Amino acid sequence: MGRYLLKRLGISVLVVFLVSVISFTLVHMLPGDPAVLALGSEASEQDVEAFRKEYHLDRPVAEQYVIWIREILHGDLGDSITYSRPVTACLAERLPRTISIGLPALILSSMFGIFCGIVSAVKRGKFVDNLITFVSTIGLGAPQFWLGILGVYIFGMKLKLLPLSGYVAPSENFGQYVYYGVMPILILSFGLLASVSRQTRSNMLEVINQDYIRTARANGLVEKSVVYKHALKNALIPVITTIGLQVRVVVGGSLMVEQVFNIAGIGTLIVSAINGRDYMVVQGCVFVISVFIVLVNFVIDLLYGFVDPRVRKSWR
Amino acid sequence: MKKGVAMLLIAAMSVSLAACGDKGSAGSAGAGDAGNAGAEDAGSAGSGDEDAGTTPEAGDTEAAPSGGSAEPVAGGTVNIPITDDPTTLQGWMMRNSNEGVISPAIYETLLKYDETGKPQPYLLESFTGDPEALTYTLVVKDGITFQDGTPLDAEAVKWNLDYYKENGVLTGSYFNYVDSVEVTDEKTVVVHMSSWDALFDYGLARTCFVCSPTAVESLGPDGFNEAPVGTGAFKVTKWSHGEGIYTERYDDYWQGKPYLDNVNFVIYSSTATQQAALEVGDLDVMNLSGDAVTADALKAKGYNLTNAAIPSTGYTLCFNSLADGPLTDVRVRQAIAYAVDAEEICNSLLGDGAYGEASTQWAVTTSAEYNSEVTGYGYDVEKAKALLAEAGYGDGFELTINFQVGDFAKSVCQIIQAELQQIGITVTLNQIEVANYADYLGEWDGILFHPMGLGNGQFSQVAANMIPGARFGGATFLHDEESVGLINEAIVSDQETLSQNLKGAVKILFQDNVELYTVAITYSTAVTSPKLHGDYGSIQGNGATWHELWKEAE
Repeated sequence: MGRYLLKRLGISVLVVFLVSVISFTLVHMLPGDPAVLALGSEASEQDVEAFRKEYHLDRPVAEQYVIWIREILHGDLGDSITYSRPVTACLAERLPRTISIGLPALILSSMFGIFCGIVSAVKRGKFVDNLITFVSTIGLGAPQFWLGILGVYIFGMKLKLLPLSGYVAPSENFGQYVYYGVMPILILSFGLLASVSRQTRSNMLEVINQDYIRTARANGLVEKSVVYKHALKNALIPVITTIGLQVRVVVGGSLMVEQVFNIAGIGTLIVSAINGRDYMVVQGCVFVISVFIVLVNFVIDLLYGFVDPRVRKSWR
Repeated sequence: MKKGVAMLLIAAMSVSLAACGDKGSAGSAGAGDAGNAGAEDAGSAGSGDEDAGTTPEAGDTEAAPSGGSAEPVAGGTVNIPITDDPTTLQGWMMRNSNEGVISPAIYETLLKYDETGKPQPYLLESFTGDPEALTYTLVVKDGITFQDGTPLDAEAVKWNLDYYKENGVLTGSYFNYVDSVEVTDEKTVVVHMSSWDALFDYGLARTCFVCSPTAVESLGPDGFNEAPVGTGAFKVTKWSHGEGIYTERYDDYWQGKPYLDNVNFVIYSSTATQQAALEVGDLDVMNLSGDAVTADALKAKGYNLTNAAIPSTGYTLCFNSLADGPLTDVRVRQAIAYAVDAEEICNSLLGDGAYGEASTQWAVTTSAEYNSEVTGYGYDVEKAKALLAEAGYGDGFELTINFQVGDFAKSVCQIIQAELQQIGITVTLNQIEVANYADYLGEWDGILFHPMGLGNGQFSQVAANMIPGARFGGATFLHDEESVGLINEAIVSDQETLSQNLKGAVKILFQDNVELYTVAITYSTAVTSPKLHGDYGSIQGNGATWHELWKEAE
């Protein structure tokens, strides 16, 4: 177990390192001068040069990377080139907003997605199955911005039931948070729900047709017990993987949902940083997101063991 | 079963079509010109601008009467959109388009452009230059205080000028010749120049927002960034990064207590969401630039539209006249000018001229900087063909037109592409991402369709850009001795010579050499709720008389 953990931890660190190298290289390969973008085309050459020096942009890319890593090891993600503020401050403002929309969406979609997948599999070919399949197909196929605009149009502009856009932090006013957050959360969870539901259905169908399930039924076990105790447990591993992959939305945000509902989250921060060639913000965001995702996947790897004894056995 | 699914599908499609079909929805509003806003916005946004309400002939397109009672009502909050977080709220660093929307409510400048585009004293009683003595004398108006209660006096002005010279974002461009600043009495400041700069007043009107020295020194630059203090009608109460900037009225504002309680600048990144928010009352104002589709849609719905008095952008074909190829021949450049129907382009894309107009230069006829000798080139395809043949390009040639991403620029370039095809020139369009655009400013292949910011006028742009060593077109413009000589002489001369020389340079650049060809001059258009009264002006909000804005009670 200890060896396994150590191995996984080593791989995780390597992944974060590689992600940081790749993202650093890619963002520096983009054409465009961040100094000119920050100061404007009218700025004099000496002002631009001074700016480049201040942010180490005059150094070779490899040296810039070393400086950046050194600062990270000191707990500093550097200063935003565009906003002249610490990247950590930008993240501290944006991350809670993204998480407060992404986390409920993930929880909702996981719960209802698994439930819908089970129902769909158990009632295969029936009306409920077809209905869930139909809705899931829309969820998978319809772009989030389209769903968002549709939601804004129907519930905001026509029915005037919900606000068009905006955000209130749950700590500030929970009621307002729900009022403003319900539409983006539902829109975001719709797509996630669809993929979890489809994954659960197909795994459940595979498991339900296996011999040991038939044997359980032949032994007279009640259907509920067969489905939830025996079938679901074995069908869950790929579902957990799917949910794990969706965790990126919790920290990375969904650009489309943030744009449509005017939520200043991580997604919009990254996009505006890329457009402004704000290397420090892009690198900082990618670093934090990758660390989070790697950590979550590390936990998911451990979860496999708890769900499936065969995996636990392989650790020894 | 199948029937049920089919019905569901039909219902979903109907709702979708209904949403897309409505003009007020995102579909129609998507023509927002975000790209344009990010272009040479520094010029237009940060610049001083004249009160649009005082010069309704200068492009006022009001669609509906203000309505409601004529008596102003105190109180209320006005929400104004910005597309992104400002990069800074420090007065000496503000320059981009979003900052240009916010800054006039908080800050003011020592000078301000009048309706002809000439800088005039604003926070000053007088502003006089003495080219012989290399001095500018500034006398501060009485009774002006900063939002922290400290007075605007000579010491505060000196502090601001010194601080801007040391730290200002455009100090290299506008404060190059400022040697020292001296306080001679409580109200008078003398600026000693190392060399005469006849355009110093443009710099002061343009970018040098006056900040409270007490606040900067007590809070430090970073603290001041979060809680800026100027002399404007509204003071910042909170900057919620990523969400918006919240302000409240400054009761002791020198031009009178503002009617509104609060003005909030809220981030709405897309034109679509801005339009929807305006229609449900979440926003009171929407700023447009060269977006006739959205403007017309909102006009039809009864919103008030007001153009800025001073043009915001001059969309210009900038020729690379130095690189080997057809464009080195002035006859080819003239032929292109003859082949482009600027009038028709403006009529078709700018609401029959409601949001912009054609011009022969970077100024309109009402501007003091307009040179009537620059007559331009009318649309004449036959003349264009004849000139091309005369230059030896009767069979045409291939040409690249580079432009910054944006709906308006793209439409114009596509029309020009078709027009030049008529005279045998095959045009390849090269669309440039906003972030990469600065890379093209020094040198480009063929033609650059450039959105030149005109907030600070034609003279300032010609003087700053059309000389050797300038960042813009350094390797593409001819920089012929005559025009450069006129510009250089203008900068160190009195106002009369300045005007005469720069008008001469404009004639050489636009008419004789055809290095530049203006296709369209656009205005910033403010769309305001019928409940909002007073003169908001436009995105170049320096024109807005903020303290006189009022809103009908809900």
